[in-house]
This record gives sequence, C-alpha cells and structure tokens, in this order.
Amino acid sequence: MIAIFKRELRGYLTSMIGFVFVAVILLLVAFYFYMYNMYVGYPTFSNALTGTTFILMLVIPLLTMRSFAEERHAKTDQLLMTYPVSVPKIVAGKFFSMAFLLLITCVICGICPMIIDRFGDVNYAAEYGALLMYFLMGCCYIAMGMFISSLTESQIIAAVLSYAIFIVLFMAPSIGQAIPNEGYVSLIAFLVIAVVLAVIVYTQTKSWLVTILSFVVLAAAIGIAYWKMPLKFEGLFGKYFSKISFAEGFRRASSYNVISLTSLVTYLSVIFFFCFLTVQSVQKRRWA
Amino acid sequence: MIEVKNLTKVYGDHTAVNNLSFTVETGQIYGFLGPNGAGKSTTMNIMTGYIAPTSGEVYIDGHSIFEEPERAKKSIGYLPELPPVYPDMTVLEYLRFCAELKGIPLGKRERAVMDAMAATRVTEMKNRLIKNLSKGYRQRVGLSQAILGSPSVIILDEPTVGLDPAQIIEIRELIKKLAKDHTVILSSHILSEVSAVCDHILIIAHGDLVASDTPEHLAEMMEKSATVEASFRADADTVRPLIEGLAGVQSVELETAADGTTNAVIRTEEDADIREALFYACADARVPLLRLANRVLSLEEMFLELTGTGEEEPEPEPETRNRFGHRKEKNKQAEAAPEEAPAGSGEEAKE
Repeated sequence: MIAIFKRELRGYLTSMIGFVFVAVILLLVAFYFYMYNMYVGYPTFSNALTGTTFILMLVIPLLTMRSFAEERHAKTDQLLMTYPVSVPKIVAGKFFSMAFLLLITCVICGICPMIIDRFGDVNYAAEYGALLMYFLMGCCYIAMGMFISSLTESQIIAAVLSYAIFIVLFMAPSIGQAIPNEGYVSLIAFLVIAVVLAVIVYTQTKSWLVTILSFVVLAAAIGIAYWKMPLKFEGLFGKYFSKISFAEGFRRASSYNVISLTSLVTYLSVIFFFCFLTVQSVQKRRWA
Repeated sequence: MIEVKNLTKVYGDHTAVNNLSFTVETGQIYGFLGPNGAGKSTTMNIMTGYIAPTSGEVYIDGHSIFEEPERAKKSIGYLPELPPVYPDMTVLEYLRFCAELKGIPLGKRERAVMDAMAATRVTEMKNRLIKNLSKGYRQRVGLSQAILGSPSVIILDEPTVGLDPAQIIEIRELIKKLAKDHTVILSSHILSEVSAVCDHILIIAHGDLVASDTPEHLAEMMEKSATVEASFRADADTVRPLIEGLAGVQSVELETAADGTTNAVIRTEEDADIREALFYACADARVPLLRLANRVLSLEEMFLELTGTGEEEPEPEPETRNRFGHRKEKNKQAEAAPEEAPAGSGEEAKE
C-alpha cells in the first residue's frame, strides 16, 4: 500500500496535476480570505472557506479521473493485479495519495486563522474544526471520483461523469427545495430510482429474471408504503434530496461551529462506502 | 510447479479457453504456441490472477491463485503482452517501486533491482524516463520487472516481440539461464522461437489444447507431410494423367504459369512417398520435371491440420472483423469485387 501511495504521489507531483490542484485551491482560498477577512473584516476564516467549496468540486475530478481509468488504459493494472498486493490495498494507496494532496492544501490554509489572530480574537477550535470538515468533505468527493474512474477506461468520461454528479450534489439543496410537495411527485421519483437501480442490477448481473424480480420487489414496497401512508410521502423526496449534498456537515461546522458525531460518521462512511465500491468495481472486472 | 486444471473462460457466447489442463514441472521451459486470438494471453492472464476463469483451477507451487492469491502471486513474475510500465517514471524508480510492491525486504531490494537490470541489460538506461525508451527497451524493462526478486515461476507473454535479432538471442539465453532454477512459461506465435528455447510445447487454437509435445516430436510431425509440390515444363493436360496414374495420390491442383510451366500441389495418402514414382513417370513420358519437393508445413497449415478447421481463415478479432466486413461490403457495391478478395488484392487483380 505504501509503495502505491508513494508512486501515486510522485506521479501527481511530476505531472504537474498535483501542483495545479494545490495551487488552484490555495489561490481561491487566498482570494476569499483576502476579500472576506482582510478587506471586509469578518473575523472568521470558515466564512471565507464556505465560499470556496465549489472549487473542490471543480478540481477534484482532475485528480481522480486518472486514478483507475489511466491504469486500465495503459494496461498497467496488469502489473498491480498480478502482484502480491490485494485490491483493497491498491485502492487505499490511491485514495490516501489523493487525500494527502488535499491535506497539504488544508494544512497550508491553516495559516489563515493565525493571521487573523494578529488582528483580533480567533476561536481556533471552531476554525480548525471547520477546516477538518472541509478536508473530509473533499475526501468524500475524492472517494466518489475514484469510484467513477474505476468504472471506465477513459479519463474524459470519468471527468465528465464526475462533474455531472458533483454538480447535482452541489446544487442538491436548491433542487430539493424546488421539488413540488405533492405526495405523488415523491412516489414517481422513488419509482424512477427503482428503475435506475434495476438497470444497474441488470448491467451487473446480465440476468433479466433478477432485474425484473428486484424491480418488482422495490416497486411493490414503494407502492404499499404509499397506499398505507400517503401523507408521509408529501415533500419526502425533496427533503431527502436536499440532504444528499456532502456540504451539510461542513456547513454546520462553519456556520454554527458545530461538529456533530453524525456529520463525522456520515463523512467517514461515505468515504468508506465509495472506497468499498471501488474495490468491488475493480474486482468485478476480473470476472467479466 | 504449476498445475492448471480444466480451465475454461467464456466471454458472452465466445469461448476463449476451453477446458485446458496441463502441469509444468520445475526447471522446465514450456512454450505456448498459437495463432493470434488462440487464447494464449487469456490463459496467462488467468494463471497470474489478472482475470478470473469461468471455471477451473490454477495452483502455483501448490497454492491456489484464487483462494490464496497473495501467497501464490509472490511466486510469479509476469510479463504481459504490453509491458506494464509507467511512462512517467525512470527505469530505476519503476523497478524500485516493483520491488517494494513485491514485498522484497528493504535490505535486499537494491541488490534485486541491480541484478534484474543487469540480467536484462538496462543498467545504462536506469535514469531515463520510460516514456523516452524504445519499444525494445520497454520490453526489457518489463522483463526485468518479471524476474525481479527471482520468483519461482516466470510467465512471459511474447517476450521477444519488438526486439532486434541480437536482443532476441540475448533474451533467449537469459530465459534458458533462468530455467535452471525457475519454471518458465512463454508464449509465442513463432514456432522457431519456441522450439529454440522450450523443453515442451503446448499448441493452442481457438481455446483448445491441440497438441502437447516436445519440439523434436512436433518437428517430426511437420516433416511427415502428405503434400508434394512439383513443377513441370508442360501444360496441365499432359501432366494431370501422369500424376493421377500414380498410386497413393488423393488430389491434384494444377496451375499453368505464363511461361508454360505447370505447378502442381499433390496431396497423397499419409506415409505414401510418390516422389520417386513421379520422377520415373515423367522420365518415361519425356516431361521435363523442374522441381520436386515435400512441402514442409508452415505453422499456419499445421494449425489448420491440427484444429481441423480446413479452409476457414483464422478468426480475426471482432473489431477488425467489423471494419473489414464493412469495407468488403462497400467494395462489393462499388466495383463488384469477388467476395473472398480482401480490399487490397481486389484492386491488384483488376490490373
């Protein structure tokens, strides 16, 4: 795992992508820091940080798109997969190398509260807590981007797919509010999700029987639930949709100075979940 | 030692490897021989744990590659079809990375890297980026990665592709040297290469094992050809009764060239040598016999013979087939070229 971690990191730092990644984030953070804290005079750095969350969404796909897609494209995955190293270790090595770049960035950002300290009072715990949540939120994006990269052989497809999903995630709170509150809208939305899940089941199993069976079970469950308690469906989809954004935990930390166990666990489990999916997706290819 | 038992790999409705079983003893060099698309690479990829088979088992030194992959993979050095090198690393960086990934202890790592570089003669290139190396050097870097740490089983997929003749001889010597205390499996579609280094040859076609023998036996098989080629200075009508009158002749193909000579391809019953009789028949009829030879089967012909596919051409890969089929159709519409003629030869024929 350490060998892969080192190789990946070296790869990022020799191909400029790593430097560009760190530099772009720092540049934007610096700009917001200057505008919010230096120019306008807000005493909290986390305010400035809030403004920069969209840049994570923009630069992380640049980092993650090559992680597995390039490996497959150049057939170097043949090396990794035939060496005495397990797939979870390969995934972990790659994930940590990317997370490490983000960590470097966040550590450098850690200077900002100290600068503010020279001019006023700083709640260090709140600032660094927000920075930690910022880092974990970035790691969620990284894990997800890495998973998307493992699905395809093309870096471009990986990047475009990541952007599409990240943008939906980023805008989820606003989209969620715009979804009509009527119960049947939620019903339709959940049925659409059931169809999507069935399609995924089909692509993975190639069996119509399993696909139809899983769709029928899901649709029946949704139908019965709707029939039994139609009131619960009102606004249900919109409510959950606004929550799929990764930004919630960071927002609570930066706006209310709250780091709840819930948001920590959510972040860590999202990261773990997508790393796990990546392992499965890489393993699955061997059986294709 | 490697044991492969009833290996089968099915892609959709295409069987890439069909119920393959063999055992490779320590200290021997086994050669996989087969035309493109025969299933050589698929078999090797399964043996090294890169892809999983549909059914069957592989044991490397007694460890199942599927149940104890890490344990089994420790004993394997594998050079795939394309050398799996990272273009953005130098040779030295790359081999150090490989050594670390293989779990070679820190103290022995540098020694192992140096040995592998020396054996494949890439030492003078150690500080070059791999992307700046030629195909031959990349191949050698791939090879040094495979022999790094001296694994007990070395699997090489077409190891001499892209090398010049001097390098090929060098690599062959290296492989022979390795075989003294390793088990080596290599694949090739060139018979001479396999017979030059291997103790045992496995011939695969369309996923099936069609022959498994020592090179000596296979060479004998090839010479025992049942086809005779001859040229006469006479027209086909004169020659045909001469040949057909001989005992043991099964069929004759005649072709008269522009200069009046007739070339004949004569298929005979096995073990029937008609050459002498043909000579006397020609002498009696005062037909000048210009050339007479047993046809030595080319590898392709031997495959056709062994696999019994007859006239059918070896199956091209799906992608090319599509493109080719498309082109063929366009050709047909445009200039009504004969169906068998590929695009290029169709034009030549018209001239």
